[in-house]
Amino acid sequence: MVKKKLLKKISLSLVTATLLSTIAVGCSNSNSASTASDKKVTLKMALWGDDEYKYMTETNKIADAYKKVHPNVTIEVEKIAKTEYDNTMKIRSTANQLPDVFPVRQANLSLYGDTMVPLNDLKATANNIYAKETMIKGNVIGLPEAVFNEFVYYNKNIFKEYNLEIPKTWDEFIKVCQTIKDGKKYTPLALGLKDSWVNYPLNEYMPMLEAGDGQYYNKMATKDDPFTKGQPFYNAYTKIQKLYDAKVFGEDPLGYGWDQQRAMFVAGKAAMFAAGSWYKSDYNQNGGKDENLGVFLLPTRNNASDPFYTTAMTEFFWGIPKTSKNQKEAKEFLEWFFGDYYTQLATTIKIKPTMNGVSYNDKFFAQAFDGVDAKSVTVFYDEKYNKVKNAMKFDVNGIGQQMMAGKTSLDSIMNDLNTQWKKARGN
Amino acid sequence: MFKNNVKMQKNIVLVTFLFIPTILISLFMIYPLIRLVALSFTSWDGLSLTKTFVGLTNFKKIIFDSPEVWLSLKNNGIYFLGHLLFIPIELFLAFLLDKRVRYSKMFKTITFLPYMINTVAVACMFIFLYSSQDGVLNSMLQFFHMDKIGWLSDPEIVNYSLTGVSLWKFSGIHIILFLAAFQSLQTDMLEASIIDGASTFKQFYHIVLPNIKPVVELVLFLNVRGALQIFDIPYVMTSGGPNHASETFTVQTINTAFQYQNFGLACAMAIVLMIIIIIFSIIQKKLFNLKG
Repeated sequence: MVKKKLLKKISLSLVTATLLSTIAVGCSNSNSASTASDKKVTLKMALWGDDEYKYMTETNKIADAYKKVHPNVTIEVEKIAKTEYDNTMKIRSTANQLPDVFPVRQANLSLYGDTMVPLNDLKATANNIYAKETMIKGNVIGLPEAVFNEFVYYNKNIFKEYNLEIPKTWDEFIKVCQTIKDGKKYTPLALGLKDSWVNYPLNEYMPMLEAGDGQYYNKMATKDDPFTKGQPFYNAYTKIQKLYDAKVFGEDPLGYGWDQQRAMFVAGKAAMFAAGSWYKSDYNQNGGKDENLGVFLLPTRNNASDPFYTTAMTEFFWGIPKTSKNQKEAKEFLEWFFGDYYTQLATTIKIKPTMNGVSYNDKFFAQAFDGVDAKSVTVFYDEKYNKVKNAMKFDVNGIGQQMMAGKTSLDSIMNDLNTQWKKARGN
Repeated sequence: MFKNNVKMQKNIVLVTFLFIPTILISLFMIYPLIRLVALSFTSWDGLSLTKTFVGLTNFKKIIFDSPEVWLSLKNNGIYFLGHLLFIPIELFLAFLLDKRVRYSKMFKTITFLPYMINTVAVACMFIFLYSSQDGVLNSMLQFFHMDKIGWLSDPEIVNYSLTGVSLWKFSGIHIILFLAAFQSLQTDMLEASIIDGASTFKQFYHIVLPNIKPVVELVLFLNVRGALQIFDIPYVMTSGGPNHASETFTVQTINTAFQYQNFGLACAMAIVLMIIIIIFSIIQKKLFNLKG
């Protein structure tokens, strides 16, 4: 009897101990470094860029470099896969687990309007060329790290084979595509539309180039019928339709995706490839050789006398969440980061800088601007546009797929868009 | 005293054994479900600290103002019908595999293998098979001097191509379930019918089928649930394209939440889907039992 009682007591205390320890572990706070009494601070950083991560953790270790200036601050860098980055940050935000410093993708910037600390008063903000152009609700909530131009990469050998010159207008561009198509040897322009996003240089950016305004979508959000004939969006899409109708993307562009598109281009089976400057490192990593590679700006203008617009897309908006317990230290860090360290980073990983006084001399991309009086328009999507876009599930790249499928006329697509846009704005 | 002691011990054992599963179910099923219901009445964007209560607006929007959602449900219907039509074939294959063919063990393994392979791997494999550039299927068509087919690029064909992948992947589990039901049948009934001179079809229709009814019901339920919740195959293979032609209800829900930043609406869509599955299951069960 006594044995039984003892056994019961032991089992009860074991169960209680297990449960208490589970609760204790669950409630413990792992983020204890930041409030230590000796003022030692750990700043957590997260990012998605491969090149940045390699530079910050191998080439020029950011933690060591910052420790020299602020010995009490430890920097921890975490890389999150680019495909998972946005969702990971959203999940962390809901769990109050955002890192102290992290870049926000421009597409999500307006979403983070209330989440991030305003950086209006930083010297780095004043020195950033694009910060004031990319404010959310009147505040700078992120400092862009890089700016990307869009290009058409081309295979020089194929151009030489067909005796082609760099096109300067949209019709010339289509003619170049047509000439290569007639040769029946190469795919003129690789566009793996199975992944709808690959047509963003056309379907997303061309309305802005047509309007000569990087914030054209924001203006569209103030109108009820921006898809009407004669409007920049309609005009741009008429040009795109002309290109799609020329069937210069291979046999079945909706049947192959991004992976096959870049494989075709690297293997020399495709003559051209439309993408941002970010694609260059991808091309080299996949075995592409620079000798045969050239770039030119997508010529969307009608005549050689019209202005030549090109997009400048700012990206990697470094910011600090309001939930950070080390906001003061994080601001100091950003001031430091966008100083000499940034200059070295931008030069090494060859990004087009966003800071005044940082020189940029990329000979490869400079060839695209030779002999062209190109005017950059800074791409930016504000809160109003994002609201309408989300309300009507506006998907320009999906429209590109629809145009390529060719089962609905452009006018019908545009009329539908006008109806939906008006309704979304009304809501 | 002794009785009380035993009762007490029983209770301790019960509480000890049930505590962890109860906590797990509460944490991972009941709590998320409550949160899901609560969020479905808000216009939360997935990030803001504030969650504005909007009442039944999300549900009204889904039912009366979202034709794209109902179009995506039509795509789910193709998976549902495809699998439903395949159930008799699965039944027949299971019947054959139940020691009626040679090397049945080997065939059972082969049948079940696709189910064991990761769905993403299956999807990637079929992307190559269906590819318009250098896919096996189109190469075969060309070998027979036939035109290529846009398996994944033609909006009218894409859903059937994807249903084919789903059938390849999930038929194995249905066949194994039927097989397990066949093997649990008492052989004396079948032997008696054989003595009475019943044909194989009559044995199957009058003895086997009524006795495996609970398993058939289970497979039918799994079919409804699976077809309405299908996500991974269209998401990996086409991302719902071209131009939303292969979007299923769940792909729409994910896009609503993560691409269009409307978590409130997405939660409401998840609840609507849950209700649709329950309604379909009840209707199916009633129809199935009508005949019985």
